[in-house]
Amino acid sequence: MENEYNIMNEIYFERIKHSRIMSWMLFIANLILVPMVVLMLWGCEPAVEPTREFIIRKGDHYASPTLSESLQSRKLVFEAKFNESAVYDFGSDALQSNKNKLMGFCDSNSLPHQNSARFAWQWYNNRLEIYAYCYFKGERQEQFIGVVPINEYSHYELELSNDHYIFKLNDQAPVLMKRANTNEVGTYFKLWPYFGGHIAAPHDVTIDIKTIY
Amino acid sequence: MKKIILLILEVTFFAVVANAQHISLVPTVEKTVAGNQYGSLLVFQTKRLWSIGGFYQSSVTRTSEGIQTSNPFYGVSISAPLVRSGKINLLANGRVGVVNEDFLVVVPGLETEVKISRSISVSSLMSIRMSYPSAALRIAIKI
Repeated sequence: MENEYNIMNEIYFERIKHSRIMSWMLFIANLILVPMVVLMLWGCEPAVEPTREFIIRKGDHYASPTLSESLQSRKLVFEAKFNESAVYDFGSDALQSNKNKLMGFCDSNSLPHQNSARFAWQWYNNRLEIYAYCYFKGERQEQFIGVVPINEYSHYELELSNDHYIFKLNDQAPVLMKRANTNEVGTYFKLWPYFGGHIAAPHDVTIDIKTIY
Repeated sequence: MKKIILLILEVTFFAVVANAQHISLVPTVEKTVAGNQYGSLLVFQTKRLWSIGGFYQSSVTRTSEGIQTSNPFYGVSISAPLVRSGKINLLANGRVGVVNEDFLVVVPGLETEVKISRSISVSSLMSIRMSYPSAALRIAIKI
């Protein structure tokens, strides 16, 4: 009888211990989550400043941080600032005219080399040139848009229309590039800075990008 | 003193409330990097606190021509309990939906739900939207 009582006691003790651990976990989770939510909701300022510094390390193509984000409206708007690290010399026109990618997106459920639209850049003729850079059904298309200064933010817009991508740089006239007929509903992954072409970054390249939502 | 604090904590957080499956209407306000969104969720919750429902939310801007909505986001919301304790629950939340009619979006989140009364509970939801944290406040009303 006493033995049974002890076993029952042990079982209940274990249950109470388990519940107490659960209660503390919940308390701690709430202690962290609730103030965060309240602070974010009540703050008048934006929750975060959507400016990111992308660095392409010497010898790399991809920039860090590595991000996975999809487009959520028909217009991608951002401001980007290059600095002196955008200046490079490969010693030949062919290599110097390789387009480096700034930012853009894949079209609906497509890969970058199937259907995509991006702003591209190159240091050429001692100036920073910006291009519209698209893939249309797997075929690459490029068009010069304009020149931007270094150490200053420039304004970029890339809009989806039914059959064109519309590129806008600062106050310049828009540039239209053909868009393939793809599925409308789907994932439009954003594409981030990439150096090259074939040749990797000759030194660390820094680009500040401020996304405007 | 320690015992009193423990007692208060356990009375507050340790209470076990019987759950039954039900449908709730959940008005929601969410702060994202792109601004505030308002909407609601109609959700079916099982007695084990799994829930599934449909939601609609959008940004609201006041202009000289009146109130206009933009960036509509609608889809399906699913919650699964991580830790349950009757009055307070910690839930994993996932929302899958479409923004601006064309853009498929998946939003993972973590939610804490506090039961205020038999028919009302309040929850706070932290999610990742547009690769930035977002915070939502929800009030669930059993219908």
